[in-house]
Amino acid sequence: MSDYIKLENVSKKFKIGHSNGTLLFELLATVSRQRPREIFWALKNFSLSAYPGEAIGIIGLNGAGKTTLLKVIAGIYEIDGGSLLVSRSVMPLISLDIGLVERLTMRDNIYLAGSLLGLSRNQISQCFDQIVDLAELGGFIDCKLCQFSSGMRTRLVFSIVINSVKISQPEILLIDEIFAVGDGIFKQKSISEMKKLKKNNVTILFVAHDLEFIKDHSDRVLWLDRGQVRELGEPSVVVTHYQKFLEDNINHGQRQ
Amino acid sequence: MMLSFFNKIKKCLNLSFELARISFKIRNEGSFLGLAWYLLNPLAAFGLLLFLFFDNLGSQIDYYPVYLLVGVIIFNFFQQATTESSLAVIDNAALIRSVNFPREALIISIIFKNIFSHLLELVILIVLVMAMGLPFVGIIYYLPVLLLLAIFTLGVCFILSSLTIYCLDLANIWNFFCRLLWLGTPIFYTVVDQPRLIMVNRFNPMYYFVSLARQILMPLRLEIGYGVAAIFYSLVCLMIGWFLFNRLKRKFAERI
Repeated sequence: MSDYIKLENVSKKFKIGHSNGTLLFELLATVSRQRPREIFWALKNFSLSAYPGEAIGIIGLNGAGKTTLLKVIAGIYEIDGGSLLVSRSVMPLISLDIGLVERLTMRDNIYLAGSLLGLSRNQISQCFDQIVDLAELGGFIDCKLCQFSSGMRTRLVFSIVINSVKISQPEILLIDEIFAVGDGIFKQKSISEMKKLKKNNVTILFVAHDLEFIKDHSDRVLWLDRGQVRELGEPSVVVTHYQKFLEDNINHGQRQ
Repeated sequence: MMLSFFNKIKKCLNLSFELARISFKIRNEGSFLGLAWYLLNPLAAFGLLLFLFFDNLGSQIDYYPVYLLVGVIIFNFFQQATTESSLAVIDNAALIRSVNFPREALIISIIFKNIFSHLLELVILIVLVMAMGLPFVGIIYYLPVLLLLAIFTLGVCFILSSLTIYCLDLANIWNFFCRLLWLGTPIFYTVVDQPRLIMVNRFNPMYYFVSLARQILMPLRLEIGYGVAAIFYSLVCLMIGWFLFNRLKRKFAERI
């Protein structure tokens, strides 16, 4: 079976340090070479392959490039070097900003977000009840979103994405720290949904800071450090090394 | 290959339609007059201009109310859509950064929305045309003109929305430019027997759309040259806009 994701020496850079002043000042500064633009490599010569039905947990400090990696795979960011092969379809769950509108009801929001994720109106109508059920928001269908708590929102977003995955059957699901919010029951539900998807050969890449969770639910763990692979392999091994790294850093009282 | 291309276009149009529907809903939410606001703006402008110029300019132009209303609603379509689109990408920054939906839909939905409100305005135009005793069939021939206008406007919207993320000033400049163009286009006056104005308006695409619509609805000679010019402007503009938007859209997520 071929890989669903294949990244070879992928690099992604961001230009930073040009945020103050208007465009005019910026232009003058650039022309007169007063302020050379700094370049930040969010990913540098990064390679990774993922197989069908595999769950890869991604760990690393803030700013290590975890979210950038997901956005590159999702096609939201254009890469600056290397080659990127991603199979047919990707469903990203990178943040809660999937187009929800505060002033609209949950019903309208489900249709809006569903269409943005690529479903047709009919398809959304088909899975509408399942979305509401999975999110456990049965009594709030015609409430406006501005009355929702952040836990409710997270559940709603997760439920919309998971049900869209079931219908449009992408091969890759990307999840970024969505489990941080939500109570134990919701977590359990999400885990069982993820397992079901895995059985259907969906490749899942997820970022989390909960190391126990990562250890229990991934087939391989990727430790990202400053845009590069620090370690990739057996979850328990990588997580143990990462924990040791964290402890060392805490003892030194600073980031490396 | 071809099939997947058409599938993509169909999906994009579906999404655009859904976005247009939602933005209608948002606008009507919590407002007393709702849809009527779409009519009030151009109608107020029409009423005021009619009051100001009916005795003076109106006596030189046959069927002055129809002449004026056609100009007002055509320019209103262009102005509303382009102003809205200039900020469309920036306003949806969070969404663009987390979901990889077809970006074109943000712009196409604005055109859909404005076509719909234009159809409401057309109802008033039809009433006026019949009240003035003009032939009703003109309305049917008006639709191709509307299509060309929509294509032209879409092109301008593509150009504006993608350039604004590089230069926010463009949104302000455009507001001002629209006001100038409104005065420069013969909306409430005529350029007949004014060679200087005719010269300038030769380079004004809006002049052709407004004139064509009048030639169709009023007992005037239909000039083929105007039709050719309208087709030329709309196709060239869409091509430039499409090219520019496609070149720049890959950078949207990191520029905003």
